[in-house]
Amino acid sequence: MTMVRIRGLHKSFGSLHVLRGVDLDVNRGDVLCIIGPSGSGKSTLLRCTNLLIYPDQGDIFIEDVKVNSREVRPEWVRQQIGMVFQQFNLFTHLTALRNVMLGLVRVKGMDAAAARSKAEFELERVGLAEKKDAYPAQLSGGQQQRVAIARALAMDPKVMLFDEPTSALDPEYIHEVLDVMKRLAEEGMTMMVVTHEMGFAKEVADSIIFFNQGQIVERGSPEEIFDRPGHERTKAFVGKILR
Amino acid sequence: MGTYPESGQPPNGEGSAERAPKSPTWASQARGLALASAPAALLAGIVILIVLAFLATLAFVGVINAVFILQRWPTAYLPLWSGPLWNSLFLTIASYLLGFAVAVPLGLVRAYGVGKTRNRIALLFYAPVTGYVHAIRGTPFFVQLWLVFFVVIEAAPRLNVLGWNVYFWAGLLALTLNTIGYQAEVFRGGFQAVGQGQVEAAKAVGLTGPQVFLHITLPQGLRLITLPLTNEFIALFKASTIVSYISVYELFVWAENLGVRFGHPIEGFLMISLYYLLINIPLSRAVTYLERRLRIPGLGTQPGGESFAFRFLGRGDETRRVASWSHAQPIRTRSGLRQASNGFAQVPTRSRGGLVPAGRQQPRDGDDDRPVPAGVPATTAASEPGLPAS
Repeated sequence: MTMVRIRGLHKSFGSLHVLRGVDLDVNRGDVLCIIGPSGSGKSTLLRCTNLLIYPDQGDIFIEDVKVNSREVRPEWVRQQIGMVFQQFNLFTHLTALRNVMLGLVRVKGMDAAAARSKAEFELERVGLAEKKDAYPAQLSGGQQQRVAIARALAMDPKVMLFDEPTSALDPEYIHEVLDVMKRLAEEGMTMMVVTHEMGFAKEVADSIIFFNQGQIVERGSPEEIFDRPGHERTKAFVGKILR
Repeated sequence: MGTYPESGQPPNGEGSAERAPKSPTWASQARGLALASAPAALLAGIVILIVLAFLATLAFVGVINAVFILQRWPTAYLPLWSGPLWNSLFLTIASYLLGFAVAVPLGLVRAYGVGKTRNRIALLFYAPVTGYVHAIRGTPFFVQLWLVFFVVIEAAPRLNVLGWNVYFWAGLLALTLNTIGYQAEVFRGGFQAVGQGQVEAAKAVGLTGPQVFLHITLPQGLRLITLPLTNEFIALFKASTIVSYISVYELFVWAENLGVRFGHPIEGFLMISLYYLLINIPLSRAVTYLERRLRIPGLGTQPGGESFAFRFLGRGDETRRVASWSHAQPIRTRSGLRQASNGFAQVPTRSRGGLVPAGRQQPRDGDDDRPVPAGVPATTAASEPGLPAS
């Protein structure tokens, strides 16, 4: 079953045409990795998917519900979709636990006790139960990113979006975030991951999209993209990355 | 998962306890503090001596009548009894709070009425609010006061408020209108200083616009602007002297009367100066204390920051002293002094913000309460021995 379906997506910022007609399907439980040079519109695609940016043209369906329409509240859409940012973006004035609880209490309307136990459970899942009272500044980058994942997971999203989740991390912390993401994939979470971690993409992705200049150049299984890319630009990019 | 992947290091650096030298005694702590505060105390002492010498000279040559001050102190020199002090305080506090209530929405309009992500409602009010702010900040308060005064005087007979103390309310109105303009700009700065990433993350969780403001922008912004908000209160308190020109009976009028009635203007003005100081200095110290108590690591400015000359007043600011004078005192644990007294003590000085850029270079776990070797200023903590290479 199709979880995310995107048709004919266009987005411009002023004279800059960032997305030039994107068609995309992600099935339930699939992990889709999006690779491509920087500035190609990968992040914009993710942000359009959860309506942080409104597309100029085109349709986005989550479980066959058209979400970029006037009848749908954007808050409701974003609640269905978890997002993890490159810069973590934990709320700096709240502890790890409160970061996870905020959405549960304010969006889902849970009472504080239920939200707390749910948040503690989610932090436990990412291995940070002991750090629940720490403020973001007291955590390492890897820990912050894991809290951010817990915060997104707590909302029980249907899809998780990862926008270069390891790009801002010191190399020594990358694996702990990737481990959490791998386990999430094994548990059957539907994921769209913009990443430069080719090892992760090879191992975890069900399919990979090579994205360039606002368009999908090529889509295929990891083997197809990495071992026998069909397009010249894919070949050049993969060659550079994997060298 | 569930362990600490970094280096197997225990949380909060408990393991560092045995690395710390023997715990400081009461006497050595006192000696350390005395040494640490000596330069500030010395300077403050010199300043006080100079002021006292100046006043003594004035008294000696007869400009200040010391006998008069001593004789009249209980009756004439306590404006507490006759109300001018309370009038001054009421004018300031009331206009400040009224101004606060109006300035928050105006600050919102100023922050979100412009730029790429501008809000439609904010955009509607942006031009008039901006005009108002510029008008208030661009004209002297003295002129604003007279304008308000004459408008009120003209309007009062038509409003059937002749029984009221119209002058007083005109003064309050002028102060309020003035502080709104300044506070709105303070709030605008605070709101704009909250990162776009924070707002985006809150939206991504599913919070609505007003919820993002209430739970993210406002609490973070307020922490960033405690200092300018305090400044505005102090400035307003001092500006309240100006409403004496429309016959509001407050501290300045009282001092002036003393000069006229008894022929001792200098004594009167010195006395009200003292009153202003007695309120403003403890106030700024209280705010600094609150700021430190409520500080959240990674948000806002470094601890301390009030003026050097005030250090000798009140109890010392241990956190800052330890940071800047650690070579002079035998206290080894960075937050050891405050550890017992409150829950925030585990927060190390260095991780409290300012100097640490956001993002990847934040302190890692285990940084808390690591011993500071004697003779090494805390600011070079990166080169501490015993720090696991990261």
